[in-house]
Amino acid sequence: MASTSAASAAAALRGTSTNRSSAGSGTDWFLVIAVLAVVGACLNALLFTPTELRQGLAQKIFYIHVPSAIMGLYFSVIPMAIVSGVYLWLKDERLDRIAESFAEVGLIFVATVLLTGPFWGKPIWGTYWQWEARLTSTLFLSFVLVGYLVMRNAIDQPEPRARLSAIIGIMAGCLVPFIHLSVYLFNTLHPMPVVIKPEKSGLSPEMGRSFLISLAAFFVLMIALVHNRYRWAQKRDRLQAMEDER
Amino acid sequence: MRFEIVTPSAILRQDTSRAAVVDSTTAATTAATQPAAPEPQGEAFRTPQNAGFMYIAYTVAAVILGGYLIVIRRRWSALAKRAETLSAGRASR
Repeated sequence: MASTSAASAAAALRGTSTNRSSAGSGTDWFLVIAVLAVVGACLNALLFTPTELRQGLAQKIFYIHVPSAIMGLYFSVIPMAIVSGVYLWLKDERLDRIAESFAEVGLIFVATVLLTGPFWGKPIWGTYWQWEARLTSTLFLSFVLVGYLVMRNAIDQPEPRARLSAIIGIMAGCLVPFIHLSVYLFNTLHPMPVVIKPEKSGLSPEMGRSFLISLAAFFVLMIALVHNRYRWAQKRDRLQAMEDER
Repeated sequence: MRFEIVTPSAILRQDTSRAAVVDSTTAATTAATQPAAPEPQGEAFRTPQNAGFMYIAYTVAAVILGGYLIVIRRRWSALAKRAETLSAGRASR
């Protein structure tokens, strides 16, 4: 029995180090490629994309700000809310881990949005921050995500933690349509969509191409981060279960 | 250096009154003088020099994402250490 336990602990250890790396060198190559893609997209935006006439170089913040917003709101928080809802139905702990991963990665992207936007706002609007609907609701979303993660750390029992997390996750998801529509519902300072809109895109072809490159790179990064975070959570829970066995 | 123009709605909304004035003036001038003189593209509006804001924003984004990557790496190290401790404890028993 003891030898079986020792073998399973060793297997968990091997699993940790193996899954941490693709080739045993402690490196997640998918994540490395994703980071390199984002670096390449940023260099492309900075060096090979035309400067906007009216806004100057500050407009190039657009190539990190908007992809971060799209990844944070539409590709992280919305999936988190959907997965949370499915968790409440199926009670599968894998769904809880997926939601947890989306929430943390979503917070990173939302933080990037909130902290890069002011450096566009100052030269273009004349102010770093304005308490208007789009900015304020995005800030509230970041508070909900922080609350979600803090709450998860505060509860030890897995089932109540997952259930409460799912409820908060769904509430966070409900904020996203409001954030999206805020520029239509209120007289806000924040620009309406420039690229994705019913009529023709407001970007020139070269700028549009750079934007799509950035969007693709940020998408790969988001997938890599969620994938890495999910595997980490899986190993953590497996180790926790083995420690509880002792 | 190449320049291109986009028209984000924020600028359109902020400069609606000015744009209307410019348009009407241009129309009046065009009607009064034949043939119409070419519009002074690029001379009426000087591109703002605000590279500093761009560099700060990219640095902030790099710090956020880089910091998160460091957190990820430390987490994996802590988990591997925890697994080693568990494995060693079980092997000693």
